[in-house]
Amino acid sequence: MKKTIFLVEDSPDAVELTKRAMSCGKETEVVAVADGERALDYLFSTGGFSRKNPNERPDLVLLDIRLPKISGLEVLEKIRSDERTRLIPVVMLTNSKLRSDIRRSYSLGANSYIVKSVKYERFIEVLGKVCEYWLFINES
Amino acid sequence: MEQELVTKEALQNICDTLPVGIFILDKQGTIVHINPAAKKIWGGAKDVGPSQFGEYKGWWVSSGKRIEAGQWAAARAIATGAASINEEIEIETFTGERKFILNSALPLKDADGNISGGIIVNEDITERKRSEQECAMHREILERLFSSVDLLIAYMDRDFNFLKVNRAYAEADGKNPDFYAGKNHFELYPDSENENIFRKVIATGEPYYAYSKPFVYAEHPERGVTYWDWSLQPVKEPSGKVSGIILSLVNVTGHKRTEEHLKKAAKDLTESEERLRAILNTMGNAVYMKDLGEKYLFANRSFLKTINAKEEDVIGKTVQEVFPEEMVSTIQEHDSAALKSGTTTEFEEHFTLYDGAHVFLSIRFPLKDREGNPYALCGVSTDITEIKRTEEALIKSEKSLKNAQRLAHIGGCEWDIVNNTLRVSDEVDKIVGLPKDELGDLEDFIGVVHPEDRDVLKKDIENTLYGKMPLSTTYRIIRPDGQERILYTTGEVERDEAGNPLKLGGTAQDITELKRAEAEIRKLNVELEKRVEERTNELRQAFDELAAANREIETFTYSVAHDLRSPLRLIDGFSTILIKKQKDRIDRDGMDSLERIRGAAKRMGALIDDLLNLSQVAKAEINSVDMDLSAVTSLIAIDLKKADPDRTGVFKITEGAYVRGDEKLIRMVIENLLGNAWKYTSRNKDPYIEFGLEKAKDGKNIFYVRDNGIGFDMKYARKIFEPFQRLHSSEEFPGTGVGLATVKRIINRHGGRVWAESEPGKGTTVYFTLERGQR
Repeated sequence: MKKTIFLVEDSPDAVELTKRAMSCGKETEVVAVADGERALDYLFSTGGFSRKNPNERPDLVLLDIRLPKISGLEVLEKIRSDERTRLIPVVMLTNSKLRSDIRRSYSLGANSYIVKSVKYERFIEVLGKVCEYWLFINES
Repeated sequence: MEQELVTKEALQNICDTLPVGIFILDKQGTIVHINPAAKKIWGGAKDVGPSQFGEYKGWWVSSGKRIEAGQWAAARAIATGAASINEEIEIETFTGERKFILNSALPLKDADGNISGGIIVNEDITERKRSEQECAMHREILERLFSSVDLLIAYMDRDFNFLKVNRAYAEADGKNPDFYAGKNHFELYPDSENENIFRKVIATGEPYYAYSKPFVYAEHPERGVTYWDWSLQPVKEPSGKVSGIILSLVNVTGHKRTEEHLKKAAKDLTESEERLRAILNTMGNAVYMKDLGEKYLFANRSFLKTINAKEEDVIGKTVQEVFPEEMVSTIQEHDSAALKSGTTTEFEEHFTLYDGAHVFLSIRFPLKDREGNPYALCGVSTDITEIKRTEEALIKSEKSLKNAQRLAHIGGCEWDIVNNTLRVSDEVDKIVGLPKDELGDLEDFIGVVHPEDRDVLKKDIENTLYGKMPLSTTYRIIRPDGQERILYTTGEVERDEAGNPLKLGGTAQDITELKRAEAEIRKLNVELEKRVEERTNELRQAFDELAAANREIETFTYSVAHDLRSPLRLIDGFSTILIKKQKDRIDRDGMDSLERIRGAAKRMGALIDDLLNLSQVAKAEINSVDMDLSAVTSLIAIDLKKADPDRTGVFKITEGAYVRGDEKLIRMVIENLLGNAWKYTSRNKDPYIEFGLEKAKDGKNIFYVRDNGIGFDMKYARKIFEPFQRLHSSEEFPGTGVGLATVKRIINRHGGRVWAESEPGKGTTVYFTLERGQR
């Protein structure tokens, strides 16, 4: 069965880069939304995603913090407060090294916090490890 | 005829050579011959008859009457045949000289007995007479002497038998002069010593004198010791043989006693003079004496000291010579005033002497002789400068006290408990606003006290009287004009032997103003506190705002740097993809361009990271902990090696370097320094990097990171710590130029110093100081 990775990232270039960097190709499907509102719509089958099957949950959420409309942390909060989505692994994938962001993320229930590295090759490496771990090693 | 025995000539010769004057008279009595001697006596001669005998001037010595012509012996002889022998006559010679003669006249008779002539004999007895007179005078003197009272005279013979004594001698012994006749001196007054003296005089014929010889009357011991001046004179006969001795004594007992008294008196006088002198010279007052001519007769030591003069400059000198002009007129004025008044006069004198201004109290009094005429002026001057000064100071201080009391509104009061009388100083009356003497007893005082405070005051007074504490109480009074004043009273109780209170004495102070001032101050204080609080709040607010602004800036800086990352990632990402996926489709130029793009992006990333670090360092709080710097360095060294396994390089890290500092920041320092060393030795064949520590002169630890890399010129030693300062291009050695600036900032924030030493081609050592830490 194909694993779904839900990517919440506002920069389309970054999405493209991430998709390309992901090495877990055939077995995974990447769904990307560009803002927090749409992220919630997708997760709860509301708004533009009202036709999506509500029982379909992503296997992993890669969540950026800096998002237009609703911030990533708010999305995280929402995910963790709803029974339907509470247990989904959420990995913060962000540029921010701010300790406050890191702390906040963990206290809101993020499973992991990854800082996107500038060097692409390193990025590929890290992403590979993250996917492998959360999709194949970790029991969700 | 008888044989003439003597011829006429011979007679004439005899006549003419005889030393007596001879006149030959003829029958008529006329002088027919005058011998030379007679002429000598008379200073001439006159052949005159008896009727002219008067031409020879003569006077009877006995009566003093003039001898008439006929009275002359010659005249009588011729006339009557009477012979006169040696009639004493005083004559006046023809030269006017006065003489004495013995006049004798004999008639010459012939054989019949008839007067045939006469002969006059004149003997010049002038000398004799004079001698006689002298003798008589001597005798007179002698008699007088003999009769003297003081002079005791005894005339004795060779064997010391009394021949004659005078009255005084006899009376001294209480006897009659007759008593002594025939008696022997040494039978009466045996004395071997004296006898020897007497005998010596007899033997030698030399007189003996003695003075103040003591003598005790055996029969009159009550007279005590008497003193006599002796004179023992030998009486010599013309032959020189001593026939007798005259003892004359002068009683000098009185003299002796007087002498002794005088000596004693002189001694006493000298002593008392000395004493007086000593007193005068010891006296602190200046004592002096001047004569009427203003000359100084005496000046005591104090006087000399006061005017700083020597004795010889004063004694005998006038006032003008001793004192300067300015003082002379004053002195003279006072001197004359004193002399005029004739009694003691007092003056206050102000003089400027060699050592400053002085004030003297001068007393002058004239010294008067027995008639009451002044002959000198005496003066005593006392230096009252100090006293005057003290006086003035005292007056001043009294004034000050009065003033102080007035200014402080404090007055004194005393309550005689036994008699219930109250005495207050003027100030109290003023405070209370009553005329003098209105406050006579305690009730009067209580009467002016505010009704509400009366009981308290009475209680306080009671407590003081019967307790141990002195009085200290505050209360209000109401002045007659209705004004309220606040008074503060202190007091102490005077007790008798039994401990009963006799008097209560103290002060009353009007503290109304004080109280007012107190209230003012309190009010001001409250205001002040309020203001301080306000200000503090303002400051706190400002601080908060500032902190907030700072944080904003930081957040902004951080966001900016942070946001710059995203595009960088993309640049790097897509260019990598391009290189990887399109390798065969891109030519060398293309690849080159891509590589440059990637390189640029990487550098920018590094720069942003470093900038972020630098800015973080500035704001980050330092959480000081004890760190093992050696361990940190080792770990970082391992990381470096791991990141570049193909590289060679030896690390020497000294153990046990403990410091105190912020873990993250210090780590950054080591990362930077070690990183640099690793970087700049990358071209070496045998890179060598050392971490160690040295001891400074002041005992502080100096840490260092040393490499044997390419080094740099010391003239850039400071520049390299400035941000963005690079000494190499990016091709030579990568780097942002921010690392060392960050290191400097971190070290400085830890209170340390950092500096570098280097030699191009030899290597570099970066030193830094940090606080020592614990293990």
